[in-house]
Amino acid sequence: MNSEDKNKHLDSFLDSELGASLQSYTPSDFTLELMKRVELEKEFTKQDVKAYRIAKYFIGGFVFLLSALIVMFAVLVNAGGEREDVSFFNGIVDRFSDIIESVSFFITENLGFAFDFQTGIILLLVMVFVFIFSFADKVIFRKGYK
Amino acid sequence: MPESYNDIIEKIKKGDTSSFRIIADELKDKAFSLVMKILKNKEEAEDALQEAFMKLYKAISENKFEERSKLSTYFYTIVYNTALDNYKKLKSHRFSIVSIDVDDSNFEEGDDLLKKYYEKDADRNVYEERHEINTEKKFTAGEIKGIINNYIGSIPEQYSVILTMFYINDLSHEEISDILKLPIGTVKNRIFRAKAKLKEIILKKYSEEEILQYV
Repeated sequence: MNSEDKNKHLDSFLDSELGASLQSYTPSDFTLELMKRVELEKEFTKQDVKAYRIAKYFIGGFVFLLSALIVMFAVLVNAGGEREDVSFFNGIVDRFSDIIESVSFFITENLGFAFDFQTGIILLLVMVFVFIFSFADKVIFRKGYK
Repeated sequence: MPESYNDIIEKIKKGDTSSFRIIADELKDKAFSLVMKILKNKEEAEDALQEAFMKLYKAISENKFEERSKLSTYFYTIVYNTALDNYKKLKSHRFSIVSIDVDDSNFEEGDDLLKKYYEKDADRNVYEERHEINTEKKFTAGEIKGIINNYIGSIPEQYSVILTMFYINDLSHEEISDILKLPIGTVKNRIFRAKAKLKEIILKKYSEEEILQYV
């Protein structure tokens, strides 16, 4: 055997011995414990998806209800002067108008611009939409499950 | 015929968690060898490996793993990073942890590869002299394994991690370079140096003929 062959043999011997020395072994119950964790994780994900679905319906329902109320409120406000049988709502509307009026006076006196009932409705709508959007953005769009 | 990783991944995505066992059984010991080189503690290495496997499972089931990449390489990257994170956490919580330096930033290439080995060797020689152990050189499989184990246990982690990735995890120089974010030349150089030093140690004790006879 020439020196090159000897060297090759020695190298391959060292490679295999190095491999054997570097090897460590997991305990026998490792996979069993891991699979328990995997099953648990799967179960948690299932529960999360369920809870998330319920939350989505709840948020959707809430948003729908809120929008419906605003629309109804706006309709009633417009119809408020013509109909006499909606006195309960008229009372609320009157109160709301009074509040807006006083706020409007305050703003006009201090800041120099007018603030009427329509502006109040618009502001309220804007606030509701900002709330809906930020809520949906946080909960639905960014944390979607497949 | 054994199932391919792609088939197994598809099954896991469809909710068949039991298929994950095939991946775990195939990679656990190889990955454990790598974690052990970093954490050097069985319990902590086991925890880190479980964590790494859970990360892999989530990546597959949540479609984060791109099937273009090699599953084993992807997994060993997770394993290495998880072990390193755990090592850093342990180091910050305990003063008693054996001081190792996995972080390459403090490592100088010129560090004496054999410093610890010779320290251990010197200790052993003193012990043998004191206890009058028969030190007659006799080439046995156990003895050469002992030398290699002693050597592996004494070299810096910057070498043992790369050697494990190369010899146990079957990663190429390029893959190791990607995972460790080291130049490919450094990876090749460390493997070469580590092997050359081992050869040097063995050839100091035994002649080439003796070893080849054993081979």
